[in-house]
Formats: sequence, C-alpha cells, structure tokens
Amino acid sequence: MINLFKSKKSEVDYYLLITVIALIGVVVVLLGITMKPRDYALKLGDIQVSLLNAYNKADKILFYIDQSAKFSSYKAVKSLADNGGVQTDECGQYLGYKIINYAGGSCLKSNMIKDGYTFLVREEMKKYLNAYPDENMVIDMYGSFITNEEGNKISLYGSALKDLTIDMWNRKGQSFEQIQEEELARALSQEEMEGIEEADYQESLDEESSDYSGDGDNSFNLIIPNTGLNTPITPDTRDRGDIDIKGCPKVPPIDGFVKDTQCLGANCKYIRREAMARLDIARQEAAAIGAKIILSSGWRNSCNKGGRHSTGGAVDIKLIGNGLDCGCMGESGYSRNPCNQVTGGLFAYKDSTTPLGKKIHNCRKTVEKIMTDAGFVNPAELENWRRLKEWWHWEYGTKSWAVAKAEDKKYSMVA
Amino acid sequence: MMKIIHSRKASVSAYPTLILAIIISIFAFAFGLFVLHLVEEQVHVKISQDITGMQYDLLLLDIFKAEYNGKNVAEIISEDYIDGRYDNSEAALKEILGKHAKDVSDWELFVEGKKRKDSCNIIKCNGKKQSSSAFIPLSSDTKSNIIVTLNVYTKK
Repeated sequence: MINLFKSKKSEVDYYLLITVIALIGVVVVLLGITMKPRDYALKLGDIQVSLLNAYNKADKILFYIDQSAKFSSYKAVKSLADNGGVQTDECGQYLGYKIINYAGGSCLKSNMIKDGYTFLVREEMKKYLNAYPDENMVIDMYGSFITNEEGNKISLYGSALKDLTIDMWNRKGQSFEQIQEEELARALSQEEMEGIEEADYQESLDEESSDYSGDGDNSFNLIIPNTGLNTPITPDTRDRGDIDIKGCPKVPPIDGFVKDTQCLGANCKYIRREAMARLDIARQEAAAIGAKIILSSGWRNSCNKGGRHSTGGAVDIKLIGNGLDCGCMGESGYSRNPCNQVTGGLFAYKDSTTPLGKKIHNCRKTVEKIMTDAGFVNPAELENWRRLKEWWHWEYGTKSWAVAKAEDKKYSMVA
Repeated sequence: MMKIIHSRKASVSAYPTLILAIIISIFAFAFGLFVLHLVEEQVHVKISQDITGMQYDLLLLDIFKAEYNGKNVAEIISEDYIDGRYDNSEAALKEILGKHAKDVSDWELFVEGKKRKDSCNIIKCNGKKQSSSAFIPLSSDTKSNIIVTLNVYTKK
C-alpha cells in the first residue's frame, strides 16, 4: 500500500477506489433505510384514512336511522289507523272493537293520537336500531313530533337529541398510547408467526415498546350531528362486530364463541368455547416442553369460503419454540404445494432421512400427540384426503370429529 | 486534491478520475432518488386506493339514498326483496347510476350475499371494481334487515 502512494498513478487509483467505496456505502445505506421500512404502529396516511372511514361509517348509520325512522313512522300511522286512532283502550272493548265513547262521555283525550304515535314509533325504532350491527349506533335521545296541523294536513317530524360519535380507531375506551402498543404487539405477533423464537419476541417487545411512549391523552373521535329519529330503548349489549365488504360478519354472529385467549393484537381469532378450552389444554402440554401453540386460523365466515372453519370447531395451529421446526404450512394450490406432498402418512416428511427432514417429522409428531391428547382430531388423516395433507388442521366437535370419536356432532356451520 | 491539480502530470490523470467520480455520484444520487420515489409512490398508491375506495363507498351510498319514482333506491330494493323480484331495483339502478356515476360501465347488486341483478357482459364484469354495502331496514318486517351490496366497475 505504501508503494502505491509513491507512484502518482497509484495515487489516482487510490482516490478512485475511495470514491467508489464511499458511493457504494452511501447507496447501501440508502437502500437499507428505504427498502425495508420499519413496521410502525402508525403508517403515513393512517389518520387521514381513519377519518374518512369514520365519516363513511357515520354516513351509513345516519342512512340507516333515516330509513328506520321512515318505516317506523309508516308503521305507527298504520297501526294507529287500524285501532281507530287510539293506542290504549281505557274504556275496554266490545266485540273486538275499542270503545271510544260511552254514555258517561268520551274516552279520547286531547293528545291521545300524538301520544299513541310517539309510543308506536318508539316501539318500532327499538326493533330496527337494535338490529344494527355497530356499537356506535345511538340508540337513545331521539324525539318525534306531530306539528303543523293545518286542515287535513299533518306533518310528522323527528329529531335526534344526541350527536353521533364515531370512534376513528374503532376501539372504544382506549388511549392513543394503548392503541399504538396493541398495534405494535400485533405486528410483532405476525413476526412471531413467521418463526422468531419466543425469547427474541419478548426481548423485541420490551425494546420496541419503549420507543412508543406517548402521553396517553389523545382522543380521536369524530362527532357528527345525528339527524335521525329515535326513542329510548334497551341497548343491545352483544358485540356483533362489523361486517366485511361482502356483507358477511367479521366475528361469529351467535353466542358460544370466544376470542383466542392468547391473542395480543386486534385481529383475534374466534373459536367455539369448548374448542378453546381444549386448545388451552394443548397449550399447557406444549408449554411443558417449552413450546408454544399459535392459533393461525379459527372461525371463518362461509361466504369467504370458510369451509370447515365456519363451524368454529376447526383450528389451524403452529407449534414454535424450543428449537422445534414443523416446516411450512400450505395455504393454496394444495396439490402443487410441497408442504402437502408428504409420504408415509400425514405426519411424516417426504425427506425424513435428512437432519432437517427428521426435525420436521418429529415436530409434526409432537403436534399430533399434543392435539390428540387434548381431544382434537385431524380429518386429513382420518378421511384419507389424497390431495390435502394439512398437519396443522385440527377439529373438535365437527362432523369428522363425531365420526372419529363415535359421538354426536356438536357444531354446524355458522354464517 | 489541490496538489494533484497543481501538478501537471497528476492533473492529467486526475481529471478523468474526477469526471468518473462525478458521473458515479450523479448516478448514485439518481438511483437514491429513484428508490425514494418508489417507496413514496407505494405509500401514495396505497393511500389513494383507500381514499378512492371510500369515495366510491360514499357515492354508492348516495345511490341507495337517491329517489326514483317517489321512493329511494334502498326502499325499492327492500320491497323487491320481499316480492322476490328485482325488476324495479334494476330499473332504478340503471337510471340513477347512469345519471350520477357516469364512469361506471357495469354493476352488480347483491342482497343478503346473493347476486340478484347485474348489467355485466356475458363473460364477466370489466374494469376496476368498487363496492359498497349498506344495512337496510325492511319495510314490512322489523325483525329483520337486509344487507345490500352494490359493486360497480369503472370504465378503464
């Protein structure tokens, strides 16, 4: 190197070399920064998109309230007309007809029609608004009025006495900081699904969480004037969640389902209560050997091709930790997917002679033992599926399970 | 560097090197800008797709609200649902979409998850698909409501 500097020509080469190395360094750094963006809890445009989403959701709710009010009003008027204009029968009935006059005077009070109309609108609105699958729906603080009684013309009016408040994040009661942490946990949970070790996961969770220490005093609600007509009613307390773009439920629309007990993020899986109890047993057995079971898929609605998962008794699981490697999980193109091209039974691996093959084979055998002990069955093995060999798919309470266990089927497809 | 330029011999060799370095720098800078542009464009495309989807969602919601022969489209669809025929819905949607969503070429109406009407070509609907769903109360039976989804395909 010293000799190189002595020659002028070499000196030039040295500058060229330095320049090229520096440029390569700059490009590598630039690529490193830009090509692999960090999975932030909040991405560029998220707040703006959330605002538009909230506006969209509010518009749908207001539309529904308007329609409900209109139909409720029609029905209230018809019901009143069917009953001679009165809702109550203080003077009783005769031959099925309401008595509105008797020898001692009239049973009709001055505001009887208005009261009857208001009462009936309230009753009809109860039914309509309770059916709306969104917890943001305002179900009280509405009023209805009959005004402008001019000649034969009567005008019916309704007004909302409370504004409609939409949670932009669709997570009521959570601060901005909590939402960020949950988002972070969700992102990390996805990483975990891709195979990071449990210890690394916990360490990265602690490390990353410290980067997001907000003041926790942020509120992101969109308040929109409510223009519908409504009446006080008993709230529908069941959380039926939202519907997807096809109009299908995102969460099971009936009782008897529970959320994944180990879910950290927002997109938690739902399965039947008893199936979850069984899965928890399997998780305990996995924990005893230093492993962890991740629930990859639970209930799925039938209009999105949920298949057996629509019963809520089918689960797709993954076993991680303690050096376990169960190989890949197929998702599509079953017959072509190498994950499914297994020989020697469902839990064998096509290349079980190699160290990796043996490792995968042992992992899948462990899955089989844990899940079988917990009461699950694998229909692919039982029914000898020729094309689809899903080592990760287990069922409890389904038709296949019932056949295998010689018991009655517990669950049918839901939504 | 100054020494190199001041020396006649050195300057002869140094100029091509400097020119080469400048050219490489320009290329590296351009490449960096290109990478940044790609990342920015990806974000931009995602956001604009979301926003466009929402704009259509709202537009299609307006279609449900729009009046046709004294009733709004949602009401017509709910009545058709009870009757089991969707002729009125089809007529209303054709006219209102023609008036208010002129860049729409084809459309499909789904009620309760089932396709009820469409104006698509024989093989398939063409163009970019936009979709909106609304929960509509039923006019005659308050115990149930219907989920109506309108898919439209914008002209290419």
